Amino acid sequence: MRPKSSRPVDWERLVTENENRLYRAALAILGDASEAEDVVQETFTKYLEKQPRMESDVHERNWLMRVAVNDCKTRLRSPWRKRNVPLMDDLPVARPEERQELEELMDLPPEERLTIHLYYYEGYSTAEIAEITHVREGTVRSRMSRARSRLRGLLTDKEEL
Amino acid sequence: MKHYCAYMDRQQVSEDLHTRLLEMEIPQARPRRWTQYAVLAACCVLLLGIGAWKWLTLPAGENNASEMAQSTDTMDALNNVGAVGSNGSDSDWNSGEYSFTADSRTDITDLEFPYIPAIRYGDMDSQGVFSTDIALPEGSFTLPLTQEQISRILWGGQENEANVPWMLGWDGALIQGTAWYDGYGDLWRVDLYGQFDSENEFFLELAPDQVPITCMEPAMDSETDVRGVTVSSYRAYYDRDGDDVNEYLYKSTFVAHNVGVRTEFMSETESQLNDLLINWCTYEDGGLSLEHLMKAENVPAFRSADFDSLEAARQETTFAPYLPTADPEGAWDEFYGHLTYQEGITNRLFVRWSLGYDDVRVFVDLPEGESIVDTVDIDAPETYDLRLYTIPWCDSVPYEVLNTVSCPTFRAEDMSRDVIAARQVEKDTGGYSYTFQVLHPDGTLVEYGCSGVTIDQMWAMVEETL
Repeated sequence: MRPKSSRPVDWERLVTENENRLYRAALAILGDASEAEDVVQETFTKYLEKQPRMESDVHERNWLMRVAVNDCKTRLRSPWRKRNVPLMDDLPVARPEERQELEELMDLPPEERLTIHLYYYEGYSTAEIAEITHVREGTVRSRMSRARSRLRGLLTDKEEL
Repeated sequence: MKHYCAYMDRQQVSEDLHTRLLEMEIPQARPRRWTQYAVLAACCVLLLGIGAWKWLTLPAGENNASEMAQSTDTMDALNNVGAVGSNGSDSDWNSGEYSFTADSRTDITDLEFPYIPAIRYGDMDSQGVFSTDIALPEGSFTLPLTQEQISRILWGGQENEANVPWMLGWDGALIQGTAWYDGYGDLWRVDLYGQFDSENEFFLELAPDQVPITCMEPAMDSETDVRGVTVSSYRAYYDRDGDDVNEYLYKSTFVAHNVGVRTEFMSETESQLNDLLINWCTYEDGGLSLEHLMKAENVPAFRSADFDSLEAARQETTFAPYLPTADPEGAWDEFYGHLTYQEGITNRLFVRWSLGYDDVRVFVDLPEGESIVDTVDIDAPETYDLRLYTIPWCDSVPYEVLNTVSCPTFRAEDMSRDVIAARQVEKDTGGYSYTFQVLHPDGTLVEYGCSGVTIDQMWAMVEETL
């Protein structure tokens, strides 16, 4: 007889719907595929440990993203994290036409990179980003503004904040 | 962004990770961080044994791996921390925050590493909690601390190339500090606030020779003797920030090396950071020091006075034009007036009439030092008109106008009876209350917090100052 699992009933859905978005966000912040996978695993581990009660799928998604982002920030602060390595070298290979855009984004400071990723790629609102990153909405907007000024060429096809 | 999006669309977790995630079960309890420290200790001993000479030959700072620059997210988190500044007003925690970097000590054995004292923590509950008001020393003022000053506190008064002793485990923390002085320029208290990330932060209060006074303190009957120092401690475990995840809170008080210390560590994990601080503070060759901060170089001039009548208060001629010319109508049974002047910081006269649940309070702040006051646009009633919102205001007032709706500042030329009407609120105990500020053309700011008066009385009180 198969032992009863301790996982939540909809665990497969939870993993399938969130693993790649968490991975991409971690990749955007850390610029390291291997570390990004560690973040994803750690995030789901925390979910199993805490089994937080969520009002909705949206809350669940945001909770997971918040935990993943926190983990990324902790990793960035770690004194053991390797330094002075160009981020591009740790990223999965980009196609030639993608390379310049990716490099420009990866040149941004991590917090601006994260903000851009969550806003433009994940489609979060500035209020949601503020909640996920534990900063005020005004800070999110100022980060967006700074990042936008550096990425002027890339973002002209997107709406203004 | 299309190339970036296309790139990200292709990125997926590996098949191996996907499988592991799907098969993941609730993990066993993780090893306590004590275990991690033990592992770290073992590594350090090993390092010492096989290669200490290599560390010794490195140029200063080379083996220091942390170079985390301060980031704006932590700056904002710091902004959200309540703090008290000069003369009891809100201070700007945005200024004077520094990223700290630990040293790489080689004399580990001298520091008894990895000795971490076993601190007894009592469980905090509401039993035995006492609260009190703190009377600030007369003429007290605050000064922001520089990074060097903070570092010297942590290094026992000495200068050191590293900002913070590695023994504290504070590498990478963002720290800021404020020194409180009394009106004679003598050090009264030092506050340090530090943050590691959004879930891990600490607050230290330090004072010469005695534990700093606080306004609320549970009875701490859990004591531990650490190297002859009695350390009182307690802890709590609760959801401090509302994210459905409990966090730990550890508090301790003690006096060591002539410095009274009150610690408060908030952490996702256990008590090691608090324990490490206690260890450092009680260590014979360690400890904190406030010696370099004991006397302020420039003490602002100070004056205070009490008044027992409006007439007496109005003798202060520079304030008189902004004070009521007569007591408010009615049988007020108490009057109190107080003037506080501190050079470059504040010049305020306050009067109050009281009767039962009602008060008429008027604060007059003459321009002194730097201050920026934002006034509301009289044509934007959503920023100040309480009639537009229903109680509870926390549910009806948009977040972006919450501050101004709570207490708007009007330009004197915009004042009218209708503006007063916009600030009128019916009280539970009967009658009305009014809260607002008026900025006069010369920079004088008058704050009104009144109840038990009619709208006409309120308007008359304001109108005569315009």
